[in-house]
Amino acid sequence: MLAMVIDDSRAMRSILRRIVTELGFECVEAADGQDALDKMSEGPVPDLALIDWNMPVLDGLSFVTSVRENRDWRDVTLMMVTTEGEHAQIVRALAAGAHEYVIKPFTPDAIQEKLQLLGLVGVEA
Amino acid sequence: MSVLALAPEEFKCIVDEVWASLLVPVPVDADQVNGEAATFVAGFVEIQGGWVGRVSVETTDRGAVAIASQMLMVPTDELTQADLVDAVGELANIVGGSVKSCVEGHSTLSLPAVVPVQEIGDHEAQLEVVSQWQEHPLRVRVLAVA
Repeated sequence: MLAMVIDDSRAMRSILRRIVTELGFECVEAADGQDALDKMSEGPVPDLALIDWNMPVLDGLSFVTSVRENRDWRDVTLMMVTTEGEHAQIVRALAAGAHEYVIKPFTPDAIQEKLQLLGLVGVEA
Repeated sequence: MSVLALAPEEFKCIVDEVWASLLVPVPVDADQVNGEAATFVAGFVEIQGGWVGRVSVETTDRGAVAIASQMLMVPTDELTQADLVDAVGELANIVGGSVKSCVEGHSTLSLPAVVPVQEIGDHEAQLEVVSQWQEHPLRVRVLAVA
């Protein structure tokens, strides 16, 4: 399984990379939404994208919208990981096609639990 | 009337939660900021909406190096200036996002910026948390912009 971490902060990408790698994913990184779209176009297409909202060039919501407009990418699971915690914004992201939503700060367990809910990692006995 | 509905103890909980998720060992409370003011950097974000202000995370140059090293898991001698800016800015971004959620109505959060602390502006500090991480001072402030 391949995860793409999309965040303009290298530090946050590093933290999320460590978490998903521990959970068994291979991981690639993108510095903003446009960088992510470019890398997905080049391939390989990730199984999971962890997406920040507030980024330069192309924000996370626009990225989600673009991914959902491309039928070739319909199997990509989209999880927002962002400081954006307003209820209305969460609803917007989910309506645009995000599957899950995690608000920073988070713990590794919170990421794992969301991925378990999505069926992307196993549930520990 | 713009409103930031955030009590001091709630702000401290926000800061403690961010520290607990990103810094090991967890920073401890401090009575005052230690260190030469001239060496402090401030990562900050701006909130625009029902309340207008800045949320800053401040530490010394050496503190920024230690924070970036831990967040990136990179030895201190391999860090770049961009890494320090990135790490301190991301801390401000995360604290600022939590503060924004306590502003009534819709508001927006800027991308983070990092400046010498003297350049953050002479704004009234509405809330402040002072901590010590390893030997490094950490101060987080909510600054009202008139």
